[in-house]
Amino acid sequence: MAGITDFLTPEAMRKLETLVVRSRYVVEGFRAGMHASPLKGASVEFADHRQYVKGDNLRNLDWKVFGRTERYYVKRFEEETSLRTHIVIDGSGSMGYCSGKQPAKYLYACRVAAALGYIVSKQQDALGLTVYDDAIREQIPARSGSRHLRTFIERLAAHKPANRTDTGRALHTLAETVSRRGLIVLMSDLFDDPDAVFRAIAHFRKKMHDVILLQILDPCELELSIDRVAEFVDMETGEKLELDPALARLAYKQELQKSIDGCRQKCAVMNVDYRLVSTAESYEDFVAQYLAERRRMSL
Amino acid sequence: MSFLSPWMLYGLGMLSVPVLIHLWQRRRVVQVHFSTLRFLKIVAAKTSRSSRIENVILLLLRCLIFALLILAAARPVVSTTTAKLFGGDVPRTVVLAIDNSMSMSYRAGDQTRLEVAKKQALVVIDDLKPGDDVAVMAVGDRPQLLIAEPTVDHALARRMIEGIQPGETRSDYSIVFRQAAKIVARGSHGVRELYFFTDSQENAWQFDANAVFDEAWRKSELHPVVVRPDELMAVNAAVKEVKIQSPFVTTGGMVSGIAVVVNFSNRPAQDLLEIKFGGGRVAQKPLDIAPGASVEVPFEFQAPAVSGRWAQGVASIEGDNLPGDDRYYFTMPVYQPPRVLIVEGQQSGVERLHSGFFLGKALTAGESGISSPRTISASQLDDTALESYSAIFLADIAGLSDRALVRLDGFLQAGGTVALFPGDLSNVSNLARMDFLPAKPSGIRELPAGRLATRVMEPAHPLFANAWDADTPFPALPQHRIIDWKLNSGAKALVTFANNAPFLILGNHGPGRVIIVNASADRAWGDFPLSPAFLPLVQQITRLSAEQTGDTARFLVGDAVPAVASLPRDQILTVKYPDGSTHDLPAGERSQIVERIEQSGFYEVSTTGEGMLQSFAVNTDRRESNLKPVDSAALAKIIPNDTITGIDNLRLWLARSRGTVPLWPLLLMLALLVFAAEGILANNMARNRAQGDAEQIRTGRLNKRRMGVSFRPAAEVEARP
Repeated sequence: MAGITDFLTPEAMRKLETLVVRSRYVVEGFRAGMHASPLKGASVEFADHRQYVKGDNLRNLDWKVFGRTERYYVKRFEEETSLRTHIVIDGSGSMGYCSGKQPAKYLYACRVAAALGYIVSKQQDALGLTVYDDAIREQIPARSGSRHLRTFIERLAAHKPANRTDTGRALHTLAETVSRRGLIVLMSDLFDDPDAVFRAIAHFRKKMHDVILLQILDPCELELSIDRVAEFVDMETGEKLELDPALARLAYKQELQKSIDGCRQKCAVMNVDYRLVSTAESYEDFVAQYLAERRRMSL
Repeated sequence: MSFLSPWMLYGLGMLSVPVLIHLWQRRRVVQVHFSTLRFLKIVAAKTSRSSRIENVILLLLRCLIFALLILAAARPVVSTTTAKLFGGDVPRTVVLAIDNSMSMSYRAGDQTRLEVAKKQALVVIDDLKPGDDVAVMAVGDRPQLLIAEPTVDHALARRMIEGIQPGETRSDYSIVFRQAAKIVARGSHGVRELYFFTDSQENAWQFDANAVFDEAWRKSELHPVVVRPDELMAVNAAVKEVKIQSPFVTTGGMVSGIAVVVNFSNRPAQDLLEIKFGGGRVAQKPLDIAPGASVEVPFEFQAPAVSGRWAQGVASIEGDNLPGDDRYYFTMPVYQPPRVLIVEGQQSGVERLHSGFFLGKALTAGESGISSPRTISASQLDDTALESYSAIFLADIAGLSDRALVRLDGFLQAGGTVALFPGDLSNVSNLARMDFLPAKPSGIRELPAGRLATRVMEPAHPLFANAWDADTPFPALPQHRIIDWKLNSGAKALVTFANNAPFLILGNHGPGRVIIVNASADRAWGDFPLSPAFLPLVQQITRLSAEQTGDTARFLVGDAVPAVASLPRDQILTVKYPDGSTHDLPAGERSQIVERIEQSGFYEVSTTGEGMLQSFAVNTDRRESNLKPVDSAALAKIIPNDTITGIDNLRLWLARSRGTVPLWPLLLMLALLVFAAEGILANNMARNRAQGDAEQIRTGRLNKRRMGVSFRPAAEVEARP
């Protein structure tokens, strides 16, 4: 049975201890927490005033304003709630690719997911998981608690990357099932129809979810660092193509860069936090650096 | 188009090498599982096709380089007609060199090799176009330029070739190439060819190839074609040498010698050696010589009646297909009674007191075979011709004039003998002026009265032959005065006194001999003229002087014959050649009698008054007798050439390569250009390959670094409050 140590080393966990996962937007939790909620409730964070109406709790009546204006106003406060984080991982065949000593992209995504899950769990926030390829293969609703984290890890480890990708369909399905606003962390190599992918992301955004898009690529995919003429076999479709990588490298990089730039641009328009991650990077360093950056941006 | 080295075309099989390498590299393509072909497909559409085309072009270029190099190595030529189609007008300059050395007189069938070579040369002339230039030379040991400047007058060339006569010289092929290079350097155009018609003797190719095929040869751009008359294994034997052991010949005297006969063929030779002397056959010996061996055949015969000064002999074998070396000519001097001149210092008073009195008596005593000596005074020596004398005795000479000294020097240079007897008139200073003496006088010494014991230092010397030996030793001498002599280097004391003072000193001056007798010829310094040693010693000196003239004279065809000093300079000399023709040499100083010998046989030098003075024999150089041709591989190492044998093959070869223009320089140039193109293309492809490495995809971390913002370490990441 898989445990969190399958993905995270004790040292990595020590590093992650002090980190927090925050949403950039207000979220809808089902219990009080550290995250901003769209609902006004009992908290210390003052929001605004409104005219007193019959039935309002007199505790919220602003007596100072009444003293100055002789009108009844009620103080409204920001409600803080728990965060519902949904980690969505592309588990298609292409995510099983790895070059040299680098981990497979799926494994890397699992490690990042485990790190985020560990942090979210520590925050007492809810954590959900969706693994998909051409359909949703693993799904657990957002819950909190260490027992749930174990389930989360087990379901991550249970999946083996295979099949083609249909990110659009999977995300649409997921968007329909996740009703409350939360944080969606999508990890994929995005080797899919980009329009379908971003239509699905737009679906999430429409539902006011905070979306993080991590495009995970292997260094060999970034550099095409294969030195000899080779017959390339598509890991999802089985298609074959003979090519001299040395000659194709420049054009390949240009095409890939164009695709990445397109994603980055669309994400910027849709207010989606996009990051391109190479599996050559240390996952805990990436998570630490990324969360720190998010924290800085939200201040 | 045809090829001069068509076998090189087998090398075209090497074209498969780059193709196989190409295919092998394709087979080495590995299968790589990749996450997606989405981008690769887009790229492949752009690059694969051009890359495939570039690869094919590269393969073709490499194949082309191979093909061009191999074709160039096969030395392709195109006909002048083809060359003209492409705008070229390619005339030829042809140098025809015909070997007319002695070996070319070898008769193969009904004609000699020279006759075949001439016909072959005419075939080449027939093949020439009207505008082609031709030069002609005959070659033995030196070039005979028949047409030195290339000409379009082919009829003249034809006449010159037909007029080439067989020679008796040896071959030296190096001069063919040197001379041909000079001929084309003087003026030539178009394709340059050297046709060398020769039997291609191995020993004639033995020269310093680096010195011959030098820069001048390379610049001449001559293509050598060696044309051999036949491929027969020539059988030849030759009388290589005759060594005569007798110094001279007398009528009825025995003459002995050794003839050396060589079998140059690879088959045993049976023959008959015949010795002719004075016109008649005197000896005959059968011969059986192993292949490649030589035999020494001793012979001895009683000389027939001989007259004059020289006798002529020939050693010959039966004869084979090369007659030039079957006869060996030799000459022997006929014994002439020695003629003696006595020069005496003291001529006054009664005759018996004259310095040369006892010498005259000793020379005429008994049957000495010596002509009556002539006696003159020292002053008469200035005007006396000395050529006819074999020995001159100087008796008690006071001093000699410079003119007399010059005459004596010339006499010695002609091989004469001078014997000096000092006396009362002699003094140290006068004797010291005589440079030809083998010792320098240092003083006159008085000795106690009585006989002085003597010691013979070199008993085997011819001077003592048949006169003194162990049984009859050289006697003691009654001498009371002698001169102290200091011997020059090369001089030797044949007899010494007991006190080690030299008595008889012998030395050479040029070819002549000088003998100092350390005693007076009269009774002034003792009774030596009356002693038993005097008469035999004087006669022995005279006989020794006669042998001095017995040197033989032998030369080879091609040599120059120097004038010997014994020939009179004040008379016209007539030289008679072996073919009977004569040539007069005017009086005066002469360095040569014959400038260059062209014929073998006997040559005679005579004057009107004295008849034949000298005869010498001329033979062909026996190196020319070895007819073994050079191996074609060895010849190719000396000089790359085309070797053709026989007239029919020559005609075929000419038909095949008529008026050809070499294409290989062009092909080599093309190969160079293709090589450059291949280099540029390969370079371009390598640059294209390298270009992609410089580009970087901007991942988050890399992007940050590019912007100059370094990552903060994990410890700095904000901690949860």
